Amino acid sequence: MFEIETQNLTKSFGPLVAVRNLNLQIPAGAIFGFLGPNGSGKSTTVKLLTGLLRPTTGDAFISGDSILSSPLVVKQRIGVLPEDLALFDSLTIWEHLLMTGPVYGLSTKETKQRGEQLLKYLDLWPGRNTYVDEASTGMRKKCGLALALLHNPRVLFLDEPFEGIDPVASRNIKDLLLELATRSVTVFLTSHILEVVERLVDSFAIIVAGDVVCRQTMQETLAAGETLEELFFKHVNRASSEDLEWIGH
Amino acid sequence: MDRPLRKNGLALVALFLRFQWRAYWRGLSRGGKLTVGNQGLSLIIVGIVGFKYVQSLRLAAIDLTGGKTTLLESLLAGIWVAWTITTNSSREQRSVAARAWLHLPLSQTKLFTVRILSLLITPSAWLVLAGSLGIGYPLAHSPHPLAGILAALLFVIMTAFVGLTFAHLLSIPVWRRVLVACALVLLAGAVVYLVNYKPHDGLGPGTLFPLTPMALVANAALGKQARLGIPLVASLTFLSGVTAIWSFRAGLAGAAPRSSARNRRPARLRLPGQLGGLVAKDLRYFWRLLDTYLGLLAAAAGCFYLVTAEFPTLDIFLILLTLVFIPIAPLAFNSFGLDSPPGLDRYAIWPISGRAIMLSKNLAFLCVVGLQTCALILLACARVGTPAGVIGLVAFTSLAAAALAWGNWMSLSQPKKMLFFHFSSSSSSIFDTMAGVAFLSLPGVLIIYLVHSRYYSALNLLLVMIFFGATYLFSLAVFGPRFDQKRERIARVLS
Repeated sequence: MFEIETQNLTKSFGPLVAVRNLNLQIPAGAIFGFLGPNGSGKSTTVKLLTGLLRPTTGDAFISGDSILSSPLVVKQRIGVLPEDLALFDSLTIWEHLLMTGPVYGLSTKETKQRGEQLLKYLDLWPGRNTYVDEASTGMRKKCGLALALLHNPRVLFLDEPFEGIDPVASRNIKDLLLELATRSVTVFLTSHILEVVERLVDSFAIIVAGDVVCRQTMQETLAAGETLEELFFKHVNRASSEDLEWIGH
Repeated sequence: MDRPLRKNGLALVALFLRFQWRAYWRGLSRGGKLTVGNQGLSLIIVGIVGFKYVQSLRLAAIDLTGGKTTLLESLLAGIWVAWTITTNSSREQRSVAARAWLHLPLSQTKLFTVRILSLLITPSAWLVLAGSLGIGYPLAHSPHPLAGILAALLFVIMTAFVGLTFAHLLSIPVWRRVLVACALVLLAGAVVYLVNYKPHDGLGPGTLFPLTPMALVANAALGKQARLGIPLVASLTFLSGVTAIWSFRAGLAGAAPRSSARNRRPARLRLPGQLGGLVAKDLRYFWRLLDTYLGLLAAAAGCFYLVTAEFPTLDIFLILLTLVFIPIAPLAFNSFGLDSPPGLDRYAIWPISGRAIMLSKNLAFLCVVGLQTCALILLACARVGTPAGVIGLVAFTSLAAAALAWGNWMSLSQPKKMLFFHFSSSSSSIFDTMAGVAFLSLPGVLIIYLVHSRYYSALNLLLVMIFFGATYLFSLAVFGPRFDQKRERIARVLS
């Protein structure tokens, strides 16, 4: 049984097909990279897999449970760092953790213990009483990550986890993800930073305009003597750069 | 490298206003609310109010020719209230995004000009403006029409400036505290005055405040204190304009990047259980809405009555209890209005059902209204009698159940964005809100009727409570699960 499995997952917004017949099978303990240019359907896929969006057709399964028929069971099992971070205005980072723990069935004591450890690991402890709407992008991102990890999920969905993060925290997150994978936690991440993805993931897929155009393991890529960036640009066309003569004159 | 700006100041302001206008109307149409939400009925209600206002203008004109100014002053006070609400309502605030333009090469004068003119983008502002200009009709029939109209125009500008000043100051945390302190001092002063007020002394509010701006306008129209009236109104207008500009600048300065290391004292309120954190969050949100303080004011007025009345009655107590619910009805009727779209996403990420989320909102409302009315019920126990307190408890439960039963439906069907530290506009449909207010008042009316009828018995009172309790449970069971389906639409409306 795969930890994450999708069957013909499709999402349309009117005439626009954001994700078309997506079929993925990701085993437990894998770090899976989902790559693609802006607007290709990466975040929509994360939303579909985490119950933030309802698929038009198809289904997704987490540890064998359908996100459509057993959404609460699936949500209890997963940790999510969504694109918009899903944080509340006018609450501090610490209050977010205190609120989230009990929702997942953690006691206040346990929530505080785990929260403190997570925030210290992410170098966020000194700023824990900052309102999220006053916090920097990096702090908000780390807060979202702490919320995703707080209940010790089996599957982690991270949408652009390295965007806006300082190098120290970025390194910490990478180490943490590798450590999680050794403990059979499955990680599904999207990122534009290909060098980071290259060093982190076991396998990946490239999605362009809603269609998966490439899917292979990192080992296969390296064996072919290619870098992830080279492979990426084989499938993703770069727009021809205009001659912006007026800039700088 | 930089090309000099070709556009002059006025053209830039016009450009910004054009896009403000476009963004406002597009926002309305994207919310899908131009054709639904009983807009037609709302228009009829506005028409009726307008008709009554025109009638009052005619009566005020007749009064003025006879030298009476009470109605005119009341109408002017109404105009002041209307401008205060217009400048402080969420919708008006949404159309102004001066803080977001700080990085643009625009002077603060231009930004302030855009701020002022943006007020006139919304149809509600057009109506208030038309109503304000309408006050010229009775003044035209006064002994000194020119002086009266001039004073009234200055008065209208002053009220808009004062409203703007409040709106700006409410966006600054320090000033919010100062305003609350001032309000408390004024309230305390009013209570002391009313407690010591004896009708025979002749020291009524009118004699204490003979120079209100409304009285100044009326006096100018009658030719009384002509040398003093218009210059005083002009001075007040000038002063309010200066404070509006100053508060606008202070508000913009408050938008400067704040230290991310700035620490807040964490909230002390901790509630147990899976939903405790959510209830605490919504409680905090609700206390940041001005409507909550209107409810508090209504409750304080009720307490004042129960303390000072020689023989407080059960009927008036029940009416006051019902009245406390009305200003805070938007909290129940639009319970997702203070959430942001990312916040709604968090609800979807958590392993809790839509019913649990709705229940947490309902519990937060119950806490707010419970805190507001507990003193009222306890005082009723002490002054009217223990049975009155028990009936009050039954009425409270029924009123809360009715408000939430209606509110759970409306929160999903008519969501609307609300802003912290502003008056909410409970939903996009005035009719549904009014029907909701009628429904939530129903238990109060029923209990007052029962108390005076031959059907008065503990069992019947209990039946009323059970009926509205069951209505609430039904609404939670039906509309709770629908939140999951409606979440995306609500997020779209709130974005």
